[in-house]
Amino acid sequence: MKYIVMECHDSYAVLLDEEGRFVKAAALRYQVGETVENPVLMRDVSASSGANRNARLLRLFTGTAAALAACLVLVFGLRFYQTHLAAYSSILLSINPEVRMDLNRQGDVIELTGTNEDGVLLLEGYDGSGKSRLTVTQELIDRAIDMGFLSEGGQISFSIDTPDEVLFQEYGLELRDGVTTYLADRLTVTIRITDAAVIPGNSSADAPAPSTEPAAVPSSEADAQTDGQTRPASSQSSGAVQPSSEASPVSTQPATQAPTQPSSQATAPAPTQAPTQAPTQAPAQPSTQAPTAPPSTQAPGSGDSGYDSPAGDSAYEEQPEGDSAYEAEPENSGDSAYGDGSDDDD
Amino acid sequence: MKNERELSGQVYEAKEDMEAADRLIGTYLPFIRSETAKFLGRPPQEGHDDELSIAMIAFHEAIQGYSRGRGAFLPYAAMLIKSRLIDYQRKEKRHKGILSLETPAGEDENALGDTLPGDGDHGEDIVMRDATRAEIEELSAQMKLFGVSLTDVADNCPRQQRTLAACRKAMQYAADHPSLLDDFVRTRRLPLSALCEGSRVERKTLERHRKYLVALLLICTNGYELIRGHLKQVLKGGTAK
Repeated sequence: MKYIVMECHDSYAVLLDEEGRFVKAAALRYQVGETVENPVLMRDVSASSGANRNARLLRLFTGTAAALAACLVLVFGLRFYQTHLAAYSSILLSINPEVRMDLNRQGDVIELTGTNEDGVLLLEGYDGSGKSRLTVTQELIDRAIDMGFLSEGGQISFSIDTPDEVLFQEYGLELRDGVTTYLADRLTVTIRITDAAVIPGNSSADAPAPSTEPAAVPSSEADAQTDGQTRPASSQSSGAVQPSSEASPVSTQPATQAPTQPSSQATAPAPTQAPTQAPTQAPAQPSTQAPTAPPSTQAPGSGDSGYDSPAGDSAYEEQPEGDSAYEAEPENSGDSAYGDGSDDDD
Repeated sequence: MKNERELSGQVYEAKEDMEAADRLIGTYLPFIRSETAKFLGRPPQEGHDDELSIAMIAFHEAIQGYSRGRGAFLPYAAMLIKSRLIDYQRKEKRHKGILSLETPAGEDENALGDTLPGDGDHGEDIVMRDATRAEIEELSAQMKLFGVSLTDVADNCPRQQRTLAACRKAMQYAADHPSLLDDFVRTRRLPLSALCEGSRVERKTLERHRKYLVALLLICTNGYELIRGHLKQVLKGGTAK
């Protein structure tokens, strides 16, 4: 770039560049009118250092604020994630369809997965995320009933997988009570609750491990409390056992199921325990299952009772495998503590 | 302490007024010289060492850039002078190891420069320079009538390329309409509204660079062919963009 020297002062010169800029530069022995190259131009030094300092302070402040905000968001976001979004525990609901519910720390459902074909079918078009575990369970049971997976005398088992024993008991009790009362007027089903966490890979409850606690619907506590009321009912039901199974329209299934369970029992090599315990349970169970049935007016006739005995049997018969734990444990007060233990205490 | 405050007051005054700055430099020339001497390791010779001019322009920058928040003025100026001298020295270092044309070539008495084929008359250069100087003197005399000095123009010159282009556009418009220029010279008033209407440049932009525009428009009037010739090539390229 060429510059014309326009004006010379003692301490500086004014130059005109080719683009029409007038600039100040060091007067390096220049003469007016001269064309020069490579002058030492005066630089623009912004004098607004005060403003600069303010700007710097402001920047510092906003920067710090932003960093703090980011930290807060991170901390709270993490907490929110942990309590609401991250899977903390899971419940495997199996009727015949098997559905896994992943729960967050609060116990709300975050994800539902069908773990077998029927489970996938059951979940088709259903969105349970964000609902409470009980609501989802109830809705799924409704769906299962609608779709014909669950009917009179069916069995629902929950395998609860949670890192926290207390949580397991809480969920187990809640689910059992919730489902029992929910279905009270309509169906009688067996409810089994197992803790999948204690022995991994053994949620099937077949394992003879003591930890599995298949809790048959028959809540002995109900039994104890409602003895007065239920007795007649139970007597009715027990009386109705056989007739109902034939009479009730739904009874075809119980009938079909009933055989299956005995068979399972049959297959399972029942230890000596079984017979001995059988009598002890037998009286208890009819009455316990009754509560679910009697409230409903149709119950007596509807074959709940009819189911009762098979169910009771099944519960009892499964003992060789799992129930043995449940029954044995009331005394041993082992893992079954959550439900049965307390019942017994009552 | 009192001196210190007085000096910073003077510096603040000199920020606005280039003449005051010149005076301040005159007063502090010994200081500048001593700073340069510290750097060179020997006293600088006036009219011979470029370093002294650099130090002076650095002092100007110090005046422009000074604020009370930066502490005392003189240490600040000293720092600036030193850094500018270092910059200059680095820039010059690039040419080190290059022979001067003045060194004798071989056994001949002739200097090296004389052995090169001449690229034009020196006389012509001098004539050219004198003609340019005459134009410039004429221009600054005319500008004085408008109450504008070349230093003012330099202060008022747009820094941003975009603004510069806008001013050039206005100038081009004026050059295309000689009647505007005639009116401008006669009334000594910038035809701002005509300019912004004609060139579609924002009035605010033009108003901010009034003094610069005065210089530009004057250059467009008759009699400044050489200066225009200096600008022309770029102006054409600039307007073509």
